[in-house]
Amino acid sequence: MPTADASSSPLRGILPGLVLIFPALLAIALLYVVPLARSVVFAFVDADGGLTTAHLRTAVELYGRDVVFTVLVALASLMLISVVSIAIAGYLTLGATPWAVTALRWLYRWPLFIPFIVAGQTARNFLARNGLMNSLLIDSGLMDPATAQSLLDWRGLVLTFAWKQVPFVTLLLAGAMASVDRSTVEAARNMGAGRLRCLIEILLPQVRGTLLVGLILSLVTIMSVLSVPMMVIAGNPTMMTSMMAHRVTYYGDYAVANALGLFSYLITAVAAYAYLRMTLTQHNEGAR
Amino acid sequence: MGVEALALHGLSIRLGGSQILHDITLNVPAGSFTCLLGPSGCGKTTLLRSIAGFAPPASGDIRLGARSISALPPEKRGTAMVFQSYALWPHMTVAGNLTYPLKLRGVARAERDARAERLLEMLGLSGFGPRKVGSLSGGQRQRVALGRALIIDPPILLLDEPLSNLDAAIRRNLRGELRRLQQRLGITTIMVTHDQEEALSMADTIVLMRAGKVVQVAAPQDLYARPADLDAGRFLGVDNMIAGRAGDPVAAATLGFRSMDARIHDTAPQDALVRHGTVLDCAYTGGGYHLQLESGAEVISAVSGVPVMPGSQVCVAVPATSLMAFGADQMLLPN
Repeated sequence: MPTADASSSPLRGILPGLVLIFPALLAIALLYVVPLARSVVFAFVDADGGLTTAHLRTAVELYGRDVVFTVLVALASLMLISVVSIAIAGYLTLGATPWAVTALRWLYRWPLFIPFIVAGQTARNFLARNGLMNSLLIDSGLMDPATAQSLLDWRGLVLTFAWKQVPFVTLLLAGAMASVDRSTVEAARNMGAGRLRCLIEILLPQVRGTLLVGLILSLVTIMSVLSVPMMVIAGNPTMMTSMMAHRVTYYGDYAVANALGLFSYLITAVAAYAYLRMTLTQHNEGAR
Repeated sequence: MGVEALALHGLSIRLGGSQILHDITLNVPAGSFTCLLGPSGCGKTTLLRSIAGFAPPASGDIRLGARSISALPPEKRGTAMVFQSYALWPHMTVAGNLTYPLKLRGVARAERDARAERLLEMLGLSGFGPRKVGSLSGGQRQRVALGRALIIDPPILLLDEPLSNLDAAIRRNLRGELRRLQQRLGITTIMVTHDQEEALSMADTIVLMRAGKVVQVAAPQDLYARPADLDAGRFLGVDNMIAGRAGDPVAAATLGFRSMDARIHDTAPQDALVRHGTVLDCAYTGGGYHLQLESGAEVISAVSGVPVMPGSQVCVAVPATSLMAFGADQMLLPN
């Protein structure tokens, strides 16, 4: 019928497009959106199906310290990651000793290819009271055996996360630094800036967006890794991932685990917001 | 810092296994404007960068005033360089770019801002201080880059093709402006360029370079009238190079002249190089006509005030004073 044809023609125009993207949309919906929404919703649903904040209260009561601990460990790790990767990427970009730059370029990527569980295991061997690090320090006479202490606490977590994430952030950062117009660095040196000032005042401001991306992705990784806190830390407080796993494995208590997960979402959402705001500002500045 | 002279002695530079500069010796008097002129790849930019400290010398010495600077890192040399790409810092404002060198020198904030303001006024950029560098035009960026170099009151100013990224009209304006500024400040200046017109119109002294060597150091008029050899002549627009004959007013293996000095005559004039030939081509060039004519095995370029039919026989003459005489070794013969 001619009338039916006329009314369905706009839909007909977009239908092939919809059909084409449907599998991708379905995959995103089934694999990401539904589980995420479910876990958020279930954090607020009680056994009878009514709305409740009891799970959230339990989570804060039992694991409030772990949430704070997680935030502090994540922040400390990100700080250490920033400092070390800026130093490495800076040396790769500005270093004046060709063989040292080449050696560093080869070495720094290794941890990228080591799984977190192995990193956790290695950290355990290295940082324990009788671990490799203390043995080396004592053997070389740099440390009194009586003062040897285990670093298998928040410090171990920070060091392990940093060890694992520094190569990744450095990879991003060194790439960004290499694409910065080299003459801006030369101009600064010509005007009297030493290498360190060039790195901090000229190079770094031009790649700060990339650094932020690296740190946000690292934050998400830190918030989701389970093996490292399980391997490195014995007691309380510990990372939220550890506690969520504990809640699910030993109590089958998905509701409180979901409530804990909510805090993870909130923390990463803050980071995502900061990132989006910064890219928008940069975009607007570029458009002006 | 006062104005200082620059001296290069036996400077050689190797980069990546190949020799870029060979044994360069050069004296640049204090307060002078010197142009390094040459075709692409002749090593002129490397020479400038080596003065600034970005190309370590394999041998030789660079002296600024009384002190040797060849072993110093770039930040300790005190030279001020303007880069071809301007190299402004995109994350700073115009004022930020201008005052950063002063900040590095520990100048107080109020003093920094006052000096930036004065400099912006001098460069015709009053009120541009708070602007982002990205919002400036090419000519404005060039001025800011120049201002950034001048704000530290450097003993020597190094310019790396500073005008090459600009439109022809802006380039001509800035050329004069740059020259006047240099004369007013009396600052020793070395500029790299591949544009002979730019070098001729701006420099006190031109250093002509080729394949990593200095070919000739001369004042613009001398360089233009008496290029050191055939290649230098060709680079400076001597477009006719013909074999000398007995009876020519100047005895030489090769005689060089510019086409604008070669004119068509009805009768052969006295005291001039004279050739007869057939007109191959006649093209209108605005003020007159440009001719190509065949004279024996040689093709001569000449000018004429009136059009000439291709195929006609003409007599072309060049005054003896406009001739450059080159020996069999391609070098310019002494007068």
